Amino acid sequence: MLDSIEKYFNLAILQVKNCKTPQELNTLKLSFFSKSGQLSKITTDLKNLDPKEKASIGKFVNLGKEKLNQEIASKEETLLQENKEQIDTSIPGNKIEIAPNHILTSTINEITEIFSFLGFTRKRYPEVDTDYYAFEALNMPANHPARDEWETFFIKQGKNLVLTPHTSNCQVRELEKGEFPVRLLNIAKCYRRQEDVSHTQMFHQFEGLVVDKDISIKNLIGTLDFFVINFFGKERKTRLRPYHFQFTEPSFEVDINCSVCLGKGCAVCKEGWLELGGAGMLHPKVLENGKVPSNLNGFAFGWGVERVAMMKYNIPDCRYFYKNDLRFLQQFENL
Amino acid sequence: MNLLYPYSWIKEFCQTDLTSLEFSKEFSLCSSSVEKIIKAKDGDEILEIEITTNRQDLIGIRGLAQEAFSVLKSFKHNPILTLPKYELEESSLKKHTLETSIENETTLSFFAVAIDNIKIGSSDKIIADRLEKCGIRPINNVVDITNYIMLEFGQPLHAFDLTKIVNKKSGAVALNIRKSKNGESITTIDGKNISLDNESIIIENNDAIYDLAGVMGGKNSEIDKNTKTIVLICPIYNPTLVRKTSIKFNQRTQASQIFEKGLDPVNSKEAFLKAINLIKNEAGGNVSSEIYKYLKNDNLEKVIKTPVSLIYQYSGEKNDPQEYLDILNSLGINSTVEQSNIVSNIPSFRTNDLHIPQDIVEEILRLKGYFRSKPELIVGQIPIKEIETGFKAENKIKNILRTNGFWEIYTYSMVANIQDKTGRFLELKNPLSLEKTYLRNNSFYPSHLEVIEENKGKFSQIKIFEMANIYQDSEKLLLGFGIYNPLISQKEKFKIIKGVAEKIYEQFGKKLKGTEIVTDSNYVYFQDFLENIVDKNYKVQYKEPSPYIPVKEMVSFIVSSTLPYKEISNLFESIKPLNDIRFSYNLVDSFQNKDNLKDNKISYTFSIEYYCQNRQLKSEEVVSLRENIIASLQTGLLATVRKL
Repeated sequence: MLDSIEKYFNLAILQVKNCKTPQELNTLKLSFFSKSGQLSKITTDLKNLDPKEKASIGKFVNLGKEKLNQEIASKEETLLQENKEQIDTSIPGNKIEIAPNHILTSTINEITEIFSFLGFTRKRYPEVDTDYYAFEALNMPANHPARDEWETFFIKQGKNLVLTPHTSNCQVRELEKGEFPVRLLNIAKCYRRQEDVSHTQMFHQFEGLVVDKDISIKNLIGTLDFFVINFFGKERKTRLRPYHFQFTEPSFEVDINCSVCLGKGCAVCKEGWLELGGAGMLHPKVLENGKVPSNLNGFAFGWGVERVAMMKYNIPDCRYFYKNDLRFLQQFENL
Repeated sequence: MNLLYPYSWIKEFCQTDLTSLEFSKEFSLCSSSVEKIIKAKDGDEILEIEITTNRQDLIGIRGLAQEAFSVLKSFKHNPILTLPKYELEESSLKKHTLETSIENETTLSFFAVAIDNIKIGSSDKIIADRLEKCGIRPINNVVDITNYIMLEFGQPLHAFDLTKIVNKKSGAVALNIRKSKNGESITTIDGKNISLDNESIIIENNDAIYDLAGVMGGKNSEIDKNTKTIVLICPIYNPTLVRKTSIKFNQRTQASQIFEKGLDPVNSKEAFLKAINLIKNEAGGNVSSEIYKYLKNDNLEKVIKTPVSLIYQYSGEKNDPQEYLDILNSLGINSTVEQSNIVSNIPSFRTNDLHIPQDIVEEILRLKGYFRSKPELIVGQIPIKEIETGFKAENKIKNILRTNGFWEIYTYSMVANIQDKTGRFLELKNPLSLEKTYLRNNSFYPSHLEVIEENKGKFSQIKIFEMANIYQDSEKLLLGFGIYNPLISQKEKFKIIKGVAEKIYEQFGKKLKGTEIVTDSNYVYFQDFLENIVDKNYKVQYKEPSPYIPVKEMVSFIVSSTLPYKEISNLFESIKPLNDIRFSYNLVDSFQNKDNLKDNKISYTFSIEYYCQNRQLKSEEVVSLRENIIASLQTGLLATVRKL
């Protein structure tokens, strides 16, 4: 019996040694260890032996198995080394089906992340809101000419509902909660009755609102610079100019130095600067409507998400964001 | 609004040797933005400047010059400001009598005069050129002068043909200024017939309405080439009434846009006097009535007290208050320091704009130059608050979809048709286009079909998703996603969508309930509200992984193809564990070969895993449970079991 077992293992090892390919070795391996294979039969036969013989022959079989396994393992390694050269490394890898990040979502996430460094928390507010929070509370009473600038869509149903033309409806809504200090970021859809290269009827704004003790315009400039440096790059700068909004006093328009000439002046920009958006110190009327304690003041800014994305990636027409040509979206898949 | 200012005209009042480019740069930084510099034919440069609604005082060239003076001074230049005053000798000749009545609510200030012996002709070249540079077409000398004065002072004037407004019965020149009444109407100079309600201001002579005040003159009182005598008026009307009228009747004239901002009676008087002088010089007229003056409120004085500490707070730095005073005084806002306040006397041309100490702070800081301010971050405490977690859940869902090949899209919230008429819907009162009239109150499906249409030539398979609000009783975040691919079966697409949907619910420890997947077209689509998907209280908890390895097997069987899958899963669920041996089942494959198709059969392959919770199971131990499963499949589903 020992003889035939020894013969079997010798033959098996020889077969392993003669294998030329991993496939061949694999087939051989399966045949060795299959239920109907000879090794299986040897193991079954062991059961019928008397215990003494069973122990010694069993030991012998186990040794043989171990040797065979070692032989297979080393052969596998050798074959792998030999066959390594056979892979054509110039063939393309398998395509992974992952869809692109959407440029707006990526931009919104990036904005949220930058402001979260400064302790701003993002929250959500209604996109269809009452005339009160969209205008009245922001120091724009009915029939005020300043309302014209907002090109507002009005809703037929319900009383005094509008599609929010800006994200500033969050201001008095948040202040009313009476939880100070405030460092709030509101990013939402806005709507205006305009459609051209730089306007779509629907767009997104991000609004920052800060209320705290002793807030100065230096803080506003610092906050916006922090955003600009991290969003656009460290060589970019902001500049504040006077402007007018009913709900901020003083009010500003914020420019960014042109990416092409860095502020020297070129064909792309207006004397080196491009308009980014509006900002200002909260108007006392807004603070009053928000029931803000008199020892606090603050600032706010509301800028277009599409606009900052257009300026960062040199996108010429904001209607692309809503045309949903997937080839446009694909360009920004690595954001 | 953007207005045009010839640079040569600005320099007439505010002398400077700066080039228009240098001027524009500095003016933009401290005042209003110069958007463009346009070269005129005669070599002059025209500045296009954006004037914000609060600065009616900058509409006229003279007001702009006052502002420019202050800006240039803040840049340490030496501009010279000259704003000539006008006087008028009262005429002894009183050929005409103006009978004027003014309804209280309509008018804040009003000047009127009759001028006789007018010769209507074309304007002087300087006047005509300046009008054209500012985008106004010259008409005749009298009309041109009213426009010229409007440009110079920012104060609209109007001239009527006196003979046309005389009341035919009484022979009097009547100017009755009152609110219109329902049912009245007027034909304006542009030939438009307007039916009025009770919210406009009109001028009439007890006979006919001849002026839609503040908006446009009446056709019936228009000056023509035969006009010899005019009535010149210089009014300041109730801004709200003018605004309502011009919007309601869509007559957004330049005059109405100026009136609606509120004007300065002192400036108005100057404008009126210069207009009379100009008409005398240019059209040869002479004053033939008393000058009618009306001023509703002659107390134009206003004082604002600004604590110096407020300026320190807003600017974030302390300067010598004298610096603040110099700025205010250069703007024509006479100010002094009293104790720790700056006391400012607000000139009449700024009373509509400057109300509170913060307004004074703005004047000081903008001329100090915001651009010179040093940036600093906020030093206050960051509020100790829980971070809003909703956005994390949204991003988790988006990532699952994206990593499964679904492209995120953003489509318009507005659609052409009401989606669900039975539910609450919102309709725009003033849509810009008919295809964007209603807010979506039901589904993204129609919007997604448009996206498919846009892209299907370029991609054979389109997988998209969207997360946005839809608007019913309140706005709610909805998730919708689907797959377009005409090359694979509806069932295949259904399974893809269902698989992703199941995975999304699983993220929050939930099971997909119901299968409302739309399979009506080649775009197979699923949607649900985020509030149904996301469980805010869901928490991931550690569980000790089992150290035991399950016994794995495959089972394949053939059943009737009409048998719903649900019956198979129910059957598996109904098989009880044997002692402590449990099993789980998973569909690996379903398949119909030619024979199956013919016999209306289908083949399923399941993987079965047997396990014990607290010990290692040996393969011999699963025999009875396996037989039990096979028997159940055979008797319960009439299945032909192929192998195990």
